[in-house]
Amino acid sequence: MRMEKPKYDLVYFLSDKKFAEYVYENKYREYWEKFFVESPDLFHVAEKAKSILLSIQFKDYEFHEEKFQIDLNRLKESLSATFKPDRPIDPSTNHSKFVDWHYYTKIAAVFLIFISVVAYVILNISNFNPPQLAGKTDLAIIVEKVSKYERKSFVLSDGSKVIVNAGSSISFPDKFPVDKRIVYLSGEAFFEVAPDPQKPFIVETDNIAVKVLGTSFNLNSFKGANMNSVAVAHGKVLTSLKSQPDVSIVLNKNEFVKISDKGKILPVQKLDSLAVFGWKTGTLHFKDASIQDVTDRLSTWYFVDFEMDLKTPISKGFSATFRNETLVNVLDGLSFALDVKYELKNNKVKIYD
Amino acid sequence: MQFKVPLKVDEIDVVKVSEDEFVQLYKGMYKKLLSYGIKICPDDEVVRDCIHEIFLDIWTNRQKYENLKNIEIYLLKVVRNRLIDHYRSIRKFLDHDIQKLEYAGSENRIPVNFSISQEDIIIQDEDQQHLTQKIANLLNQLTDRQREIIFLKFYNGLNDKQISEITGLQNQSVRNKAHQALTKMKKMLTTTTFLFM
Repeated sequence: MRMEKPKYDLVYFLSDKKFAEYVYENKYREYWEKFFVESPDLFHVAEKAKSILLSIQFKDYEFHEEKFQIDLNRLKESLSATFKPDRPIDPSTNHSKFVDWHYYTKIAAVFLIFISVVAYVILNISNFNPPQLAGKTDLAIIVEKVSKYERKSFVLSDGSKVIVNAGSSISFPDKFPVDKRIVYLSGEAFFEVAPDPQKPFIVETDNIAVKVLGTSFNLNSFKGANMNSVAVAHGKVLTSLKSQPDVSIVLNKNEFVKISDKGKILPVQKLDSLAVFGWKTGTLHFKDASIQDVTDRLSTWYFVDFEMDLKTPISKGFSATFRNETLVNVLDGLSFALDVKYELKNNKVKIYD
Repeated sequence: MQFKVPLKVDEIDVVKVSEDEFVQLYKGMYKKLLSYGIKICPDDEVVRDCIHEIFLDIWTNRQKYENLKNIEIYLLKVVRNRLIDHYRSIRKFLDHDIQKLEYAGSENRIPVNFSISQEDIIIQDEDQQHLTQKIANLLNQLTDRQREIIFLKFYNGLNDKQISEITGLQNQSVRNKAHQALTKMKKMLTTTTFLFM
């Protein structure tokens, strides 16, 4: 059924495209002016339709003041925690950050941080004294020292998991205080941090502090003598120097950074996950590593000291994977690959031509 | 307490923004971004996390925003993109057909809903409140993209160019969508007339 003549009521005007465009975009002005001159009795109805079209609005999403305050405080806290950029920002990292965020917010239930600590600290584990948690003396502090011959894992009161490498110590409160989660580490550990935006998770060592940012998951490493290193498996962490809290660096997924004890931050690098995280499964992995990197790693791994006596410097890189191997087997492989000799005596390894 | 002149969003220079001003910007945009985001992703926790991350990223990398002309448009755009990506990453685990969605062309590449309910709409004229239901019904028979465009137009008062910047749809396409939306509304309104009048 078709209507021969339109019925000029309110709904007619409300459904007429020309009229809507007249109202919203001031189009067809002449057409409508002519129309109203010819049919002045419809002007009143059209005016009403116009006012309705102009008054359609969308409501704000139901506003919860307390949620807003939570969000605002969270932002303020994060802002004051963010760094003053001290390295050039690579625009290409920006996109990957976007991806990380979506990926992990909902899907990853856990966040990982991994920290390993300088060789000399490891070698002085016996002197390890956990710093006091300021003002929280009523909380029981648990100190776990892991011997040279084992790896241990712990579940913290918030559900976060820590795998602590051989010869390392970690201290954490029996129960975390309401506002933040701080653990102290000497040595090397891998953290899976349970997400909780209201309670930042901070790992402190003698020299650096690593903070999990937002909803991301991270890894943090530190290897070699007098070197801290932080590596991120997933998400984002903020690393800062304890000596200069305003110097800090944000690390994204698959990035790692080395920081010397003197506070020198080396350039951020992409990481080889097996090389950095392999210790968790007893895997020692090198990929095109320099002799310095290899000996640094082996000295913290097997608790030996290296002495280098090379007439010709080794320029080629060393690549190998060892799973739960003895030091002798590793040294055999190393000396064969690099065409050097070694001598093992009293926990000292001498490498010579 | 120090008295402050409210900050105008479009006067903010992100590169030079102070922490205080940045918080003002957050306060000023919070409702808008949440209202928009919640229509793309109904989980307010996700939207709030998303807004937080965006502001944090902007703050961290603020030197990069030299050429940013309109922070409001930019924020709406980033909220949209991130929520859509978030939705996709979730879908990856649920739905192996995600590739189809990804490569189905720029206009159809958004597999997410844009939902508007009767409660979202206000008609200022109290005598005409009874039309709210009708208008909501009509809007819900449009496509998600048409609804989104109408929302951006009416709620945020944006023009076609700004809408195309946010949605990534071509300018012409926005105009066509708006056109289609209005035509469809007209048809449906006419039908309702027959039924109810």
